[in-house]
Amino acid sequence: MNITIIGCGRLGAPYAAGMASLGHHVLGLDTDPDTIAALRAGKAPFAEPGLAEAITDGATSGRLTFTDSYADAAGHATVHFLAVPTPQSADSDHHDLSILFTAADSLAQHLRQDSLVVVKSSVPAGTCARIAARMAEIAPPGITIEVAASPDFMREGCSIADVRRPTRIVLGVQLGGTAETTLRELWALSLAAGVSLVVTDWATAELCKLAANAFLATRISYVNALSAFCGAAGANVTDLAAAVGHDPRIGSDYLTPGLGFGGSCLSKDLRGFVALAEALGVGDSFRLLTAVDNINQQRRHRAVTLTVEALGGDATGQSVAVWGAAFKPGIDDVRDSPALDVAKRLHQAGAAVTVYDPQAMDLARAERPELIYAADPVTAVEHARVLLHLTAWPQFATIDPATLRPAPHPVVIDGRGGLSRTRWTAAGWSVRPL
Amino acid sequence: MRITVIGAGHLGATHAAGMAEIGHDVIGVDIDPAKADTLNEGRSWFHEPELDELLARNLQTGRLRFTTDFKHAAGHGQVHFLAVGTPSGPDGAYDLDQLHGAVNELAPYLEQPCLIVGKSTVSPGTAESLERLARAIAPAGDGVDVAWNPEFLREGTAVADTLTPDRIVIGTTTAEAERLLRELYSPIIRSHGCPLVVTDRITAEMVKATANAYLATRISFVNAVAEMCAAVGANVTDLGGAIGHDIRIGPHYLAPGLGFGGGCLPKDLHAFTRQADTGGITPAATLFRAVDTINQHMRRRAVELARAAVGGTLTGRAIAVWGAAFKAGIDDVRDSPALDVAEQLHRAGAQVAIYDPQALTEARKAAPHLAYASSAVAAANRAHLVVVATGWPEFAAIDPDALTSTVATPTILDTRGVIDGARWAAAGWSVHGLGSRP
Repeated sequence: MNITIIGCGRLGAPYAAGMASLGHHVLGLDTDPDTIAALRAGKAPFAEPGLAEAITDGATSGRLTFTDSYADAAGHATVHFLAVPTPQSADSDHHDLSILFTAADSLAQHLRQDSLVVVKSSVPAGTCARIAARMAEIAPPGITIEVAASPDFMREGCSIADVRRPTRIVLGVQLGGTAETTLRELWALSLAAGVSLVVTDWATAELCKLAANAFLATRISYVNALSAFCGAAGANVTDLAAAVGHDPRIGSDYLTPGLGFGGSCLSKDLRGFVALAEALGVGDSFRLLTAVDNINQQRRHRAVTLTVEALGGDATGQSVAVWGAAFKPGIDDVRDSPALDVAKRLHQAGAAVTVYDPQAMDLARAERPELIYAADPVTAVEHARVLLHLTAWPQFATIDPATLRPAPHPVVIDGRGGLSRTRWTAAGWSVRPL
Repeated sequence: MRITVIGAGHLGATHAAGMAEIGHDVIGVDIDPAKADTLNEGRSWFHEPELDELLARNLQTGRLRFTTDFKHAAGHGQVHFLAVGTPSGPDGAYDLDQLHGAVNELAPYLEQPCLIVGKSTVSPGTAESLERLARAIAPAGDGVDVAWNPEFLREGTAVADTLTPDRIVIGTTTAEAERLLRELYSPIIRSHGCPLVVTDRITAEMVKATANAYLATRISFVNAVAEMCAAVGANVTDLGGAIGHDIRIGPHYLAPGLGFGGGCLPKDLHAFTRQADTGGITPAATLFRAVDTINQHMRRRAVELARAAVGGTLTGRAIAVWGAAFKAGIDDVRDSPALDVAEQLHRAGAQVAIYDPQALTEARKAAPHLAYASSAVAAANRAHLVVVATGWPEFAAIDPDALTSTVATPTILDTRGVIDGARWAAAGWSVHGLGSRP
């Protein structure tokens, strides 16, 4: 089937490449010239395992092409996915829908055939209704546009696999449309492989994404709140999480204490969810999610406080090393990264902060040019009084602490777990968990 | 192995019978002779599926008996389980009186080194203080160790939860205590590969409350989302199905409802909040309070929905409340959302008639001023509204057509999502829910 994907960022590019690998003829559209140039050259515009290969395969097979022209997109297909960013608003906790509305408007102007427009971006409830109204008004006379909602649940770091074999597909449609029939055909391979399809209305589908992300955020903050609790009670949060996770109603995923969540999705969707609840007059019940957000912020604050304590109460001029800048391992995304946020705060407290990350150095430098960046993890630690382990890249756990050359009496703060306490202690480090 | 179980309540009686079932020689002890006598006849004095058969079978083998004689029990067991209640005290902290009482009764007769194993849900540090108490009293002195082994029984499935648990958690300070408990539970660990988590005592003490506070958080999360679904016209049942496919989330406890109640979740959540407050862990305390607030809010919201469904005023309206137990399958009405809603409707001036398949006796004791009916149909007689307040499956089986002519107004508010809304709507009923469309 011919489809277009509008927006080739961290959501759209893997979706385009993944759908092409399933046999569809995909045209990806992005208005950013650098993104399009990279994609046309067969390169991934950002680090994502398997993405570059999938793009090259798509180009070789001829099933994956890219454009910056809405006229091209309108001519290529009658099924269009909107996968543009919906970041948090600069001045509120709501999702900023301006990029999405601009994309919908531009597409509507160019449509010459009846089309199906599927909203993949994370949006608050009510957005599809607004998009349908806008597009109907802008589209040329006689052109009918059906809108559907299909939020995406792909995880950065394994997005290609998630596109090909998602945990579930959620589809929000209006009664009487043909979207379900069309999309069942598009997704036939995944559905045949046993992927569940949940068909519901627009508002429910839109809320699914926000609810899922808010729930995961709640889980992470719950275990992080517990970890503070265990610290006070003298209990062991790792054992506690393992014991609790054996309950099948609870499960053990996302039950590891640490520096908390970051990235573009969880925080944004959590806040957008609360803002939506306030706007709907049910804000009281969503204080829960405000508490979740506060616990998450508290973790970063705690990492900074522990570091300043380890530096004897004053960070001014002190050398601090930070391992990790990406918001999670495996990717180069630093949006709302807890690691980079802690590094920034320590810099603001006067410390000389040196950062190393296996993949996110360029994006980290662009976001936080005031920090020092080291070429490798060993160099980063040279003369440091405190080392913070803030992104759980597996290679950090394998580094032999005996090969490091920190200042005398060094302290390591393990914000992600995974560093061997015995090994680091034996090498002369004082190990502090978060 | 020779073991004793102190406390013959829901937890203790089930644990004693379960331990006999896996081959141990068990004496159950309680200070109440009536309880011990009933259990010795092979009957539980409370409602729990499959327990009577388990009791009878093991009494017959001679591996199980109940007594009030602590001296006899003390001489019998190598391992003594403490399975008494730890209710919520007035300030939300656990009331440990029964635990202290059990140790005070038992310890004077402990002549030989032995292991005392706490099963109750307690605040961190309780095992250590009980160990000091036991050692100070017992002739065996420092030969008495205390370990913690939290229970994970759910009322209604307590027998299966004892014999085929999801996990066994033991918190010990000595290798000998760990060895004894591994041996004691080895039949269960072997028979179905049940994971065993060995940790320190404080962590073991916290496991149960942690799990319950998590489940409470999950329930309140879903209920908050249900309220938003109602506000935007979305369908919370579809939504729960969609997000439950994520293995990190899972399908359990995603149905909206009247919220949690019973003897455990509210108690553990309150104790956790209190501990977080005392420990100065404000973010955790705030999170737990928000969970509790949503839970209380769900009950008030059900009352408001009922008020709206009967035209804006509850005064003088006849309302059938189907359900009094805090959940289906049991007769327990402790902190029951159903009974609380009935009470609130009564106070607002409604004429409430309550029916519950099993909990009527308990409900009458807890709320004698309310009116009770002998069947769901009788409760609904001339009612302006039927409220489904406990998720008993038999309410789902009721034929709406048979009821239409007996009620004053065919209106139903299903707070548990048990009835087939479309079927009731087709029978001419006005159907209301907590965030899902009929």
